[in-house]
Amino acid sequence: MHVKIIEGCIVCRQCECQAPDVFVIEEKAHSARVHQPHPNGDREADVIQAIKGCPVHVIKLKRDRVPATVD
Amino acid sequence: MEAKSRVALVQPRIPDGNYLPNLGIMYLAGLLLRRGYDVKVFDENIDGQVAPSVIAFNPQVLGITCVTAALGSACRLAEQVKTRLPAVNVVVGGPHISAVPAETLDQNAVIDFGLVGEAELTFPMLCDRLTGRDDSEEIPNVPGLVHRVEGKAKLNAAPRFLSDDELDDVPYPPWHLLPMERIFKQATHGLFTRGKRIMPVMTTRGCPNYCTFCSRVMGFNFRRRSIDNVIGEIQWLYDTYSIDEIYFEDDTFTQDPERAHALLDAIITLNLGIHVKFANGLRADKVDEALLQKMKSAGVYWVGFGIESGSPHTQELMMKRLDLDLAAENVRLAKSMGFKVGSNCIIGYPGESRADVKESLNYFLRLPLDSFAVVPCVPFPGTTAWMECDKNGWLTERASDYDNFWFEIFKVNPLIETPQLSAGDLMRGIREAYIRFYFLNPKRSALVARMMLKKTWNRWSSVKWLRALRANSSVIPRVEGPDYAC
Ligand code: B12
Ligand code: SF4
Repeated sequence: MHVKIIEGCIVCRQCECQAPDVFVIEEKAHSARVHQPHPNGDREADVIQAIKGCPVHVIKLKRDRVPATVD
Repeated sequence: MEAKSRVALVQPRIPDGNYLPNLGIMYLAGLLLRRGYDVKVFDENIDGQVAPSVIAFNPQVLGITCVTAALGSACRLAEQVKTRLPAVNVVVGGPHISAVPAETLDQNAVIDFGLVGEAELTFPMLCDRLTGRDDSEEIPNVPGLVHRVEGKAKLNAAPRFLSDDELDDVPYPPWHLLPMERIFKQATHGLFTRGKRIMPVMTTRGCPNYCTFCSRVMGFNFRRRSIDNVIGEIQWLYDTYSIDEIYFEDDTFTQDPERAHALLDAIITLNLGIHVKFANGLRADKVDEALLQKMKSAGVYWVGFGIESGSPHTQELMMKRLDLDLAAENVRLAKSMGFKVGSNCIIGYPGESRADVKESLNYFLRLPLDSFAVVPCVPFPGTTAWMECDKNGWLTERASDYDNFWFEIFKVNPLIETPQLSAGDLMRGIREAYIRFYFLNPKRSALVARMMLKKTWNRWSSVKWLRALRANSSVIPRVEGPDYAC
């Protein structure tokens, strides 16, 4: 899982509330920042909650590609 | 027998027209009592200068709650106490430090620690470590703690918010720690009040809306105390303190309509005959006739809608995103059902134009409201509104002093000036709105004059207190006559 924030954050702090270990607010930069771009899989639920809750849709998630298995 | 550890908790004063005891420190006091601490609570609004009493109590921990405008008073108090008790640990919590923790610690040497967010889980933990009751853990590990490392503020990862079950497990506020009869004389939030023995109750925490002027402490997740737990508190307040009015201070009581109905039903069944007010206001697009009817049966007599702006553009800037037509419809509905109806309006939101202000005020002036408060936007630190102003250089000189970060009706204190809207435009807008709303409407003027007289009468003892305090202090600014905020 790879999380990033693109331009346009309005600093509503929602993501920080949902997953404070992943997102932090940079007061000086006037933006949220991803503190942990590769959170553990068990944080996925909260990260997805934060993505859904972002009012301006600037949090992006890329799932790690699962290697194809050959049976 | 080993002496108990002592913790003093204080609510500092700001010269606000409203007053309620602070629920936050009372919840913390209850948890510390449960753990066997010796706890005393002081309230500058009631006790005046509290430093001598705090010093006499000689606490190991001095916890101070503070909104932005109270930071100055909090630090002055901490200095006074520390001069006499240099070993005391000063811990600050509440909305201001939750918004700007590192700045607060870096700029105020007198504060030893801060705790951000809800502190029911973390403050007892910190007190245990500061008083030596728990020496197995390092002090700096407490979640949400802001502390100093090599002289620089360092903030730990935020604490988690309490769950519904955990909220039920927090003891009811130990009101016996405060002089309740004096508190009843002063307790007020808003213009309309029926009871004489009013207590605040908070039944939910958090708000999933995005309003960008709001200083959030409770996060976005809406959490609910159980109906039984809330009803138990109301019954207990009634039995113990003979209360005759409850002020619900929830941020968004009707967010979950099913639960709102269930709680109102339970209040109706309880049938204590007390008044009920949603003093912190309701979202105007989150009520309907059935809910309002139930509120009426439960003892609600006034409905305050937090509309904030009548301009769709400003609504969008604020991310309030209220359906203004539905809001207007609900104001009319509530009025037709016999409620007194109030609303408030923020003007001067960063980016708002003169045309927006005009549109907004015209919207309110067309509504059948009984009371209406227009306040200039206060860009609370840490909010989007503040960052917008900071980024664009729109903060006025007055905004460099946190003592000015509060608002009151009839007392305009512009902290923002934008190219679209000058401080003068703001003052003119507010003046014009009041003239049109109150002074050109004799019925409203008479009603407001009556309510203000009643409030002043109830608060006369506090005015006397203020005079006495001002005689001894240079930090309390003048308060001109009775005021009220929404
Ligand atoms: C009820 C209320 C009032 C009441 C009562 C205030 C009071 N005595 O507490 C009245 C009407 C008087 C009032 C007035 C004002 N209010 Co008011 N109010 C509220 C409201 C709606 C609920 C507060 C509450 O009871 N919360 C429930 C308790 C449990 O939470 P809490 O107090 O935050 O405490 C928790 C944590 O903050 C923390 N904590 C708090 N204190 C401490 C202390 C220590 C030592 C520690 C460790 C932790 C800690 O732990 C607590 C438990 O989890 C809040 C909005 C909100 N949801 O918080 C606004 C709010 C607190 N008010 C606000 C403002 C601006 C004001 C005024 C300045 C308005 C004005 N006139 O300009 C005045 C200031 C009055 C004052 N001296 O504090 C802002 C504060 C923003 C800021 N950064 O300053 C808030 C956050 C609203 C908002 N969303 O923007 N208010
Ligand atoms: S939720 Fe979106 S807009 Fe809000 S702070 Fe996080 S990234 Fe910024």
